[in-house]
Amino acid sequence: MGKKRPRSILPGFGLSLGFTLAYLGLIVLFPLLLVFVKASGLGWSGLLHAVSTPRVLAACRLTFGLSALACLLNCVFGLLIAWVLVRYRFPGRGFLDASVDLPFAMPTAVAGIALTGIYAPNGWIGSLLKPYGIKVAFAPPGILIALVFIGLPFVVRTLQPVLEDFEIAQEEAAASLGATRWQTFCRVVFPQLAPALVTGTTLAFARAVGEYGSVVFIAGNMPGKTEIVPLLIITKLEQYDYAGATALAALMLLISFALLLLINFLQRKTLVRPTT
Amino acid sequence: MSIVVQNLRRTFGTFQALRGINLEIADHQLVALLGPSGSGKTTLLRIIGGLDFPDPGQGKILINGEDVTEEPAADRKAGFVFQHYALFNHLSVFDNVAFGLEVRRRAVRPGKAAIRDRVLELLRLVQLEGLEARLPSELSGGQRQRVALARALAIEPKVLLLDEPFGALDAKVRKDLRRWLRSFHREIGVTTVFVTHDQQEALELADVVVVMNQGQVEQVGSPQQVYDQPATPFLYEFLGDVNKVRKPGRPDLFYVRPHEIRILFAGDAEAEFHAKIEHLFAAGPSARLTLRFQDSRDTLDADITRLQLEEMGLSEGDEVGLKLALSTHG
Ligand SMILES: Nc1ncnc2c1ncn2[C@@H]1O[C@H](COP(=O)(O)OP(=O)(O)OP(=O)(O)O)[C@@H](O)[C@H]1O
Ligand SMILES: [Mg+2]
Repeated sequence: MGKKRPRSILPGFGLSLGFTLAYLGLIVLFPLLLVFVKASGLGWSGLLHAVSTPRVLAACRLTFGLSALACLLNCVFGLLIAWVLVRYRFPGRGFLDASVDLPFAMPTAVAGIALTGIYAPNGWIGSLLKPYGIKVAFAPPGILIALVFIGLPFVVRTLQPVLEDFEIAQEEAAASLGATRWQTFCRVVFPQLAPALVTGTTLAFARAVGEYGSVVFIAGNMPGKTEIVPLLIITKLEQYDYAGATALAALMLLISFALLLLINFLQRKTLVRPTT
Repeated sequence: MSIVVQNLRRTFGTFQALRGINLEIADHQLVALLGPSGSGKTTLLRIIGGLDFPDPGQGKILINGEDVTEEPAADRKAGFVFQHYALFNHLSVFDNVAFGLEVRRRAVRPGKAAIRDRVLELLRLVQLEGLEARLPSELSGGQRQRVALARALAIEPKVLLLDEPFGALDAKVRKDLRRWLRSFHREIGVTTVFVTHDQQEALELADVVVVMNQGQVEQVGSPQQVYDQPATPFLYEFLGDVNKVRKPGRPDLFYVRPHEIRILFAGDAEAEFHAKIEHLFAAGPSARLTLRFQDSRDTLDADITRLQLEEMGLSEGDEVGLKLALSTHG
C-alpha cells in the first residue's frame, strides 16, 4: 500500500468529482475554449484590432454599464421585494410571488415586445413621458428597463430561502439588547443576507450582459448609441465577419469570467458560517 | 429588581395561552418557571421581556414598581437568553457581547476602551477568556450558552430572563452549568427567571419555583414547599415520582411518594395494608420495590435503603406490611 490518504466521510468523492469535471468540461468549458482557439487564429494584433473599433467599444460600454446599473437596481428592489414576500402576509401575496418568476418563464422576445409596446412614444407610458422630452424605448433607458426586468427574479429567488430560514430570535435578541429596528437590520440581518445578495446580483448581472432577446426590440439598435455587444456579434456573423465575431466573443468571455471570479472572491469574504 | 405580573392574559387566535397570571418576584431572586410543554412558560417570559405583549388591556407588567407593559423590548433592559442562544452568527464572540453597548445612543455609549474592558470582564465571568475572536460556529453548545449569557449581561439588565437555558445540552454539561449558574447568580445578584420543564433542575436551582399548567399558575413556593406540599393533584403528579392508588376496598384516590412508604414485616402490628413484592430492583443506594395490594389490581412503587432491604431479607414474592405517610387528594 502507498501512503494513507485521510479518509473522507463522504463516499464516492473521486467518482463524483470526476463526473463533475467531465460534465462541466464537456458542456461548459470545451465550447468556450473553442472560442478562444478560433480567436487566437487572429493573432494578438488582429484581436486587438478587431475589438478596438469605436463601434465595439461603444457597445461594450453600453452593455457592461447598463448591466451594472440594472443589477444594482435589482439588488436594492429585489431585496425589498423578497423582504415583503417573506415577512408580510397580505391578500394577493401568492399571485405576486408567482409573478416574480414570469421573466424566467416567458420567451425573452415576448418581454421585449411587451416592454416596447408600453414604452414606445405611442405606448401607454411612453406617450405620458413624451411631452417631457423623455425617451425610453429606442434609447438607453429602455435597455435598462429590459435588463432590470430579466434580472429581478435572480435576486429575489436567491434571497427568499435565506430570508425564510433567518432566525427571528436573532432580531429579538438585538431588540432586547437595545437595538432599534434600523440597527437590527443593518448590523444583524443585512450582513447575513449579504452573501446571497451578492450571488443574486451577480447572476442578474451575468444574465444582463448576455441578454439579447428582450433588448433588441426595445433598444433601437443604433450602432454606437444603442447597440449592445450580443447584437453586434450577431450582426458580424450575418456579415460573414467570423473573425470579428469570435474576437468579440472572446473579449466578452474574458470580462465576464474576470468579474465572476472577483465576485466569487467577494462572496467568500462575506460568507457567514451558521451555527447548527 | 422586582417583577410583578398582574392579571395577565394572552390569546393566540382563539387559544388562551395565558389565562390570568398573577405573580410577584422579589429582588435578587432566582426563580424557576416550571410546567409541562405548552403550559405558557415561554409566552410569559417573552411578555416579561417585552418580546410579546398581553391582550390589549389584559394585564400589567411592573419592573421595579414601574409599569412597563407598553414598553418595547429595546427600552426595557431585560437581558434575554434564548433557548437556541440566537447568537449573531456573523459576529465574533467579542462583538456578540459588545453588541448591546455598541448600539447605544452616542451620549450614553461607552468609549472603545471601556467597551473592551467590559466585554473582557464579562467573558472572564462566564469563563470564556481567550475565545473572544471565535465565531459562534466554532464553539460548543455550553460555550454558546455562556456567550449568550454574557451578551445579555453586558447591558446591565434590570432582570435576567432565560428560556430553557440548558435545554439543548447533554446531561453532564447541564449539571455543571446548573451549578455554575447558581453560584454565578449569587455573585451578581440580578433577579433571574428561568424556564425549564426539568423539575430536578427547578427544585435544585431556584429560590422560588412557579409551577404553571394550561396558562395558569398552579403554585408558587420554595422548592421544598412545592415538593412536599403540592397544592393540587396536578402538582402531585407533575413533581417527582408519585403513586396514584386506590385504597383497597375504598373508592378515593390517594397520592404517595415512593420514599414516603414504610415497609414492615407482614406480621407487624403497625401495618396499615398488606402487599406482595411483585418486583425488586436494587442498584444504586436505594432499592425500588413494586408492590401489589392484596385483592387489588393497583400497584405502587416504594423506595427503601439497601441496608433495610438486607436487614429484612426481602425478596420477590414476599408478603410485607405497609405504613403510609398519607397526603390524600380526592
Ligand atoms: N405565536 C404563537 N401563535 C399561536 N400559538 C402560540 C404562539 N406561541 C405560543 N402558542 C401556543 O401557546 C401555548 C403556550 O406556548 P409556550 O411556548 O408558552 O409553551 P411552553 O410552556 O414554553 O412550552 P415548552 O415547554 O414546550 O416550550 C402553546 O399551546 C402554543 O401552541
Ligand atoms: Mg417554551
